[in-house]
Amino acid sequence: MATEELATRLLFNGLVLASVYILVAMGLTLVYSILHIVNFAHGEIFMLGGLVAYYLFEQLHVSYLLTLIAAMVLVGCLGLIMERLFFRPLRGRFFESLIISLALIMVLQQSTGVLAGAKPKSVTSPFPGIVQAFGLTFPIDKLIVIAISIILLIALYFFVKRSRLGQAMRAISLDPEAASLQGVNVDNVSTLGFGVGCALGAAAGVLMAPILYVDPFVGAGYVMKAFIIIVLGGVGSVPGVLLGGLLLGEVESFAGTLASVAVAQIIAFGMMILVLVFRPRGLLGRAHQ
Amino acid sequence: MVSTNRNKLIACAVVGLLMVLFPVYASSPYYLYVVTLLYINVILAVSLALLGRTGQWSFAHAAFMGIGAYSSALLTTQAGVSFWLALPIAGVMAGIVSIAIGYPAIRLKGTQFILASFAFGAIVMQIFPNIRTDILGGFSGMIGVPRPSIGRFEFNSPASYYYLLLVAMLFTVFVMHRIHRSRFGMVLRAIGEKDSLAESVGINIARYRVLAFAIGCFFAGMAGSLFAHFNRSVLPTDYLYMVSFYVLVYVVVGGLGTPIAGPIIGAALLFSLVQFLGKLGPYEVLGYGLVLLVVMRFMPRGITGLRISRPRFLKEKQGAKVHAAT
Repeated sequence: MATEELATRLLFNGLVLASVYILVAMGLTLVYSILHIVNFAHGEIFMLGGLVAYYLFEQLHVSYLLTLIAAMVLVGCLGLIMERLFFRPLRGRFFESLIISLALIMVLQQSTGVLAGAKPKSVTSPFPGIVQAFGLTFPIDKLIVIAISIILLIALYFFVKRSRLGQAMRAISLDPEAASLQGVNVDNVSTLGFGVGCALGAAAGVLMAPILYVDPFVGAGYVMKAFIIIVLGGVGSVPGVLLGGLLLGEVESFAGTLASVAVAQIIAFGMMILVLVFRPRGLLGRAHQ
Repeated sequence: MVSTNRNKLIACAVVGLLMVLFPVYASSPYYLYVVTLLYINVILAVSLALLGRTGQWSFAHAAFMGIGAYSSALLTTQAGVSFWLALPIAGVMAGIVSIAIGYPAIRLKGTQFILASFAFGAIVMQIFPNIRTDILGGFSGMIGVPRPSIGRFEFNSPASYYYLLLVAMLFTVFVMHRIHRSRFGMVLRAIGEKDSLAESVGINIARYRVLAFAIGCFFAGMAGSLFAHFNRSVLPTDYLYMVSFYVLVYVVVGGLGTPIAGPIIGAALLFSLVQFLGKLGPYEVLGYGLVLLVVMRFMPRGITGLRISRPRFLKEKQGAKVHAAT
């Protein structure tokens, strides 16, 4: 393959990777940046979205859009329950919340395996076909994933900046006491915020299901990557998620192909450590605290 | 007062006797194997509790165990070093590497430190299976790691290694006990409870954190060496973050307030739980997750953190008695 072809191909793959990570990270950034909860189980939320896609879209032939909405609602509600039952009593204690999120991973993964079977399932692509450009072929479904992730990112940005719920969440993240003095119901907003975060995670799962596959463990690898891009871009910053995602996606694409997967992983985690040590607020994060 | 001390002493003596005589009454070598593994987990748990005392919890504890395991295996198989020397060196290797992440990461807050330690552990465990696969064995790991020996006597039998580990575990617990009772240990606790306050009193947080981290990882490295020589092999998959997670769970479930009793109780209970859950076959991990969920939800302070109080109606009765007397 000629160098420009290779470079274009790698660039595109990096964009696809970036979109995946960004999609997963969008829900996670709400939960982590604003509610300060380290929810490692977000990967399983993602997985459940894919599961809904399998049962509704693939098996029952429900329309893709309806599936997306259904997944967001169903898994979002699960998120509400999870926050109310497990994370709210442990608010402020990050270490215990972390452990409980890991326990949730086990329970969600294993119950899915028991109830739905552990064999990987595939979901047919709702957008089949390819597009020719620059002398290369690009799958349409991946282009759509890239496009949707950009749209959702913009929507998330305005949600956090302008919407009342988003502002309430930011207020809580800065100072819960002051926020409640301003009339913000910290409990309800936290629960709702967590639910929205899970809904986004499920949406990511629905979008990625045709491109990946559906099995109980598909989400586990993506959570850490999502944390990496949130850390890279800056905790609390939506544009940061975009930047972090692009950075990680492209680095992984190039390093993974030109060197090896192991090298790509090392670089990815290495970047996270470097940012944490030398610029903890991230590339686009605001210096506070 | 005297009687409580005497009771404690008696309890210790009984437990001690049970531990020493265990190989005699254990009904099968399997149980010997399990309890030996438990002792390794106790070493891991108390060493993690030490470095977590300052509030910086490490998700890389298993990776440091791996560093110790590989070091010890390499020294004994490639360099002809005796186990008794390889063991402390393995700890030292882990301790030195821990400074590579511990020092730059001192100022990181809890959530950030956990992420950084996770990343570090991930990097370390990517390196081992991918370099010098001729010596390190790649993903299949190293085999032929020898059991230790003193002169003619080789620690081949399950009972001999059990006693080795019993001594190692007791030694570790003793050292931890001395550390936590010392001024160093008090400072660690102070930093863990309120680091800003400790700093304002003039404590050099960085130095204490790095030191605690290094000591904790030193013992993790030695645990790795003991584990490797126990299994006579080093498998990279044995040192992944899942193991770190299990050790973290021992400490949390045991109770964060007590840095020695907590981890020991947590390790003992959960390790036994895992053995029991093994009978559930495919539902083992699910069972573990559910138990953990319930425990974390209702006993976040862990077992040693439980406040057991008398039931209400008894309290009122006692109050009535007092009033009646007056």
